[in-house]
Amino acid sequence: MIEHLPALVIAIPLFGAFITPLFRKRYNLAALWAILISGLTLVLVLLLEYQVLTKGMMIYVFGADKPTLVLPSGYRVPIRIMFQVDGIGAFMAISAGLMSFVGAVYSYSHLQKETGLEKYYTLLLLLTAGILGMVLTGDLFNLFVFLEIASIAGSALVGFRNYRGEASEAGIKYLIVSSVASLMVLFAVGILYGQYGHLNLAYLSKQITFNPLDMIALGLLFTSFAMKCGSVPMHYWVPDAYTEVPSGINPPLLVSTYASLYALFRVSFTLFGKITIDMATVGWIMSILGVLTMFIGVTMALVQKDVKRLMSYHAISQTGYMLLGVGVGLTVFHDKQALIEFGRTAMAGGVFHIINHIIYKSLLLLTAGALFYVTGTRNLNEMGGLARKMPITTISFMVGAAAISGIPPFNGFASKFLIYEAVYKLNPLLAIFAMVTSILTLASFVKVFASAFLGPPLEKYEKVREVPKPMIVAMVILAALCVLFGLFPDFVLDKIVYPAVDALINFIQYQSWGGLA
Amino acid sequence: MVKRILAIIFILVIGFWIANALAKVPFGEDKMLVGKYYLENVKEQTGAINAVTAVVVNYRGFDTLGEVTVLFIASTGVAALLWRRREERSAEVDGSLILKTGSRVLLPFIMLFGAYIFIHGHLTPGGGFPGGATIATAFLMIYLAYKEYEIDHNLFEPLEGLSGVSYVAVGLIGLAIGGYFLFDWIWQIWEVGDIGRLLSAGFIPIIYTIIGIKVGTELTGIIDRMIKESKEVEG
Amino acid sequence: MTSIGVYYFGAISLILIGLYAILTKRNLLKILVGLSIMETGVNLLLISVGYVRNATAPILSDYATPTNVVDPIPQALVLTAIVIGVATTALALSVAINVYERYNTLDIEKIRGLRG
Repeated sequence: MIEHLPALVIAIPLFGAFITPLFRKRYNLAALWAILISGLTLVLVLLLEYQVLTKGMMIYVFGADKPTLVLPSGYRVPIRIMFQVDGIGAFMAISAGLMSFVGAVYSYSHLQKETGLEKYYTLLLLLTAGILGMVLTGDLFNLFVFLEIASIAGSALVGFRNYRGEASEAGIKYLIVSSVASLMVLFAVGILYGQYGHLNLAYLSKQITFNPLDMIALGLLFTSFAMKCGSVPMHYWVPDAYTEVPSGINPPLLVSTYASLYALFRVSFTLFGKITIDMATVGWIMSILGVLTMFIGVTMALVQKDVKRLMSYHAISQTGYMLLGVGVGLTVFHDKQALIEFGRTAMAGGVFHIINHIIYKSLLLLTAGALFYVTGTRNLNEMGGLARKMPITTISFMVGAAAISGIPPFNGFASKFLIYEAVYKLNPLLAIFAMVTSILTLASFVKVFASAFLGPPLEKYEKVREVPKPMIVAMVILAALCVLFGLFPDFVLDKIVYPAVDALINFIQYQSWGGLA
Repeated sequence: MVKRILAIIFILVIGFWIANALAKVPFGEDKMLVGKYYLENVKEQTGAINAVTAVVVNYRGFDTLGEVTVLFIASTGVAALLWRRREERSAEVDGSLILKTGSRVLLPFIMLFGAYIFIHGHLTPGGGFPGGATIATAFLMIYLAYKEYEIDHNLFEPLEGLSGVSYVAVGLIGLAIGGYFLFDWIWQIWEVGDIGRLLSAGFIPIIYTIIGIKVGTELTGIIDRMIKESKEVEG
Repeated sequence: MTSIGVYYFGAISLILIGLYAILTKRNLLKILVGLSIMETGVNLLLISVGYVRNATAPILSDYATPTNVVDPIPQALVLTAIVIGVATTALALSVAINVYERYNTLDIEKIRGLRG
């Protein structure tokens, strides 16, 4: 049973998703079924992480008849599709499972007034299955198929509220951008297959050389995954998509964006590991992209009036932190001593920031959804004085805002401090940019807090009460995680983050299928 | 105008660069690596003679599960997005007499042809996806001919969900019997049938039948949603 | 002469034409047609990578032995990619129907409800 975990982690959400449309019109039952399935997936994913931590990389072959690798004699290539779960794959899988559970719990009451909900929960479960497949797979074409599953499910959910024209506009933009990115990935798959005749990531990484065709494939893959995670030249779809999607889907949609970031790291560190270990150019490109993203994101956020749109611009800028942290690690990949000195710490900061950001950004977006549920508007100029009526929402917002600005003892501080410390040793200018961005982020959130929560209560919000219990439960879970990760960062770093970082650095381990060949 | 010229220059530069690089990939040479292994062993390991079908269902069956899921997402997404308060078909007249009579006569033949394509997937080119698309074409013909026709939603939607569940169930049965998800237990353990006949190739005909039914009902559902328009609610 | 890769010319020109349509056209449906053309181009490129000269379809029989058939793997990949393309087009068209019902126009310059 334990060795079948990777397949069960995908099969159970799929199974649940195929059954959900049979609950026509009984929306509460569909919601409970979705919560059950996503809770079960969360438990399985935690077991998977425990397995990877204690026993090393897990290999799972689909459809083979022996529990070892199918390497027929005379050939040194695997024949079937394999799932190759290492530290960073399990790390992303935990965030996916956790966020889909939180999103399902939150949606139980957030969407009381909408119809067609059994399709909503189907799409939520399918989005989760797509993300989990993308982070666990070891085969390049399989990555493409699951990337398409996640993007198509995401765009159907973005346009879900079809009585608002803006939602459809955001949906079509998201769909076109993600389709073009996926087609570029498919083009790169075609080029790599034409040269080497195989599709397995570990096998390809052993064969990659430094010729123009492989450089084109690297460029295409890098560009398309950067497009899909919202870094700067192509960030236009992010605010529209995050604003118009129903708030319960914001956590899984965030994880889907960071799954593309994971794919970017997988391509740079593992697939093209033999190349990037000798040149620093790719690392510099990633770090510069990170700094630009940070800066442009936060400056455009300062002028927004719509609260969810403001938060999505902040999401773009925090993505820059992750790109910067891991980019610094990639830049010093070739220099063994610098890598041990500060590269590893920078990468740990970047990777830790992924899960921190997912937790506090989801918390902030869920509170924005709560504000929308209660007041019916998202415009900051129309809200005011809600602190007395909605105490738990206010506290959750304060926790989230403190975390995103990097104030101790919340979790944002821990990861940002690691990034500042390590990036300063590479190039002090980049660290200064990072700190300035942090200050601007704090300023922006103080403004939001003042407009929405402080001030005298307006009379049109006299009858406003606190939001229903499932929404409160979801927000409290995330706020508690913010506080816990902030108070005990070393525990999280040792158990989850450093194994992930080492899995990325140690690509030789990945190439030999965890020591099996 | 400026945008067009910039776009053309950008595209020409990229195209020239890619064409130059693709010259290194030799065209028409036999450079198969894994393909050779598949071709040499497809008869014993899977029992099919159509190598493409064996690759799609057996060797890379997990990608096919992903593909079926993508179509399911499209069908559910279209149903969720095109939901309206009250909807009706907006055609004004029926098709002509030739269309009406011809479609009634051709309907069973087209459905039979579609079923033939997906049942013989392991012996001839085709498989579940073209077969399902053919069946959906038959329904499209009836939609075009008659202005009042509508498929029975209570039949199609559960059928679609159940086919999806049975695909995952086949995989899970493989897990239980043979030890791995999507393990071909019919050919490897039970050894039913001979190569080259209809009753062979393990679970390939079964999976293709499931896929054919699923694709046919899904595409018909999508056509049905798109053809209707919303009726304006009075008042 | 063959140092430019003329054999892949068809696939590359389809991809570039599709990309041009996505970048410059203003009508939403024309952009979706461009996306469709680009998908066709990428599929064509994938199949032509697996071609073997003077070989036949990979359905084994008495004269189609494993030495003179083409590669079956790109054909399986393209089968999946075509179906994914169909699903994307269906979903994109239904979102376009919704956009038309709300904004009454398909010109992307005029569909600018979200600003900033």
